[in-house]
Amino acid sequence: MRRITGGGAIHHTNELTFSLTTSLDHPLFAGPVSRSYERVHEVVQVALTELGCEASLRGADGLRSDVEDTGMCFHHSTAMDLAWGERKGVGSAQRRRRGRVLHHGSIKLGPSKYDTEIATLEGVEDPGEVARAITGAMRSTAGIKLSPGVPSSSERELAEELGARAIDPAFVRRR
Amino acid sequence: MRPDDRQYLPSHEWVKIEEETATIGITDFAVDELCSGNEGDLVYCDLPELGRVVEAGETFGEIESVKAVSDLNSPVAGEIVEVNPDIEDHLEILSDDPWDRGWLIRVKVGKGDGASLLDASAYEERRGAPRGQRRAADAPLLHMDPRGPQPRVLPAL
Repeated sequence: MRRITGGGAIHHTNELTFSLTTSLDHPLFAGPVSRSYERVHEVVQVALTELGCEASLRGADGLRSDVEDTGMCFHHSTAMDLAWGERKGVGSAQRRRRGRVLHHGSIKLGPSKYDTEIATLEGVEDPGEVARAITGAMRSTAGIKLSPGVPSSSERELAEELGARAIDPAFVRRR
Repeated sequence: MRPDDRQYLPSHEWVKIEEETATIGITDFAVDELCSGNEGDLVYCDLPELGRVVEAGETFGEIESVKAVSDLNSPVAGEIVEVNPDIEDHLEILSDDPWDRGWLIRVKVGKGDGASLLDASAYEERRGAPRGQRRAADAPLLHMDPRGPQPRVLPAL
């Protein structure tokens, strides 16, 4: 399937994907895309530190996990990406539409056959543990309190409709 | 000062109307937001088919950088009569010359409600000075906020 946020392919196994959505004037996302990445990644960095992982923004230099032309998200890095052990550890993408933003990120708990040589969270087996660390860091770092909730039936219906579009060959193969 | 021979949408598209034809592009601010001065960060621009009819404010395409995808919105209603053939293979034009060579589409202006457009000074006021005249710093990182973390509740995800 193809995401509306663009970016490289992710093999969704043994990992946590998180999504944030809010208005573009929210303090986390206001201004240039690169600055919003720095802010979100600062939150994720705090969460990873709590899990015993010393991650930092990649900066100017490339990574050992960079592999050309595979189309995989974790094989392509930018200065704003979070890395540890000289390998990319968090894959992220954003969609900006009509004053709203959808940001998502992927954190691997272990390697997969398509994402070799990337950074993973060794010793953490439960994606829920990572989710709780991120939720906690949201509160401690950005003052954002997240409340548990379940999607309403209309939200589920909309998600199914959008999901059908995401696997439509016309959308997947466009460009 | 940005060009005052055209009008702007708050979502960073510009439109220059000459007789019945509207030429539409995106501002230097939009390009900067997407790629922060690194023109290689723009990876793709999806532009519409000729003949498509758009409403004012309707999305006519999208532009993708290495880290984000953004909509392109039409400031006017009408039929798309021309698409810049150079953009797809030369996205650097958008960084080099967003006001002239970097135009995206031309629309034969039709009837319909117009979008709420800004003149150059109103756009400037909302978005700050053009590239080169702007301070590099913008909102501080959250941990640098002297007030400390500010409570803010997001809707349940």
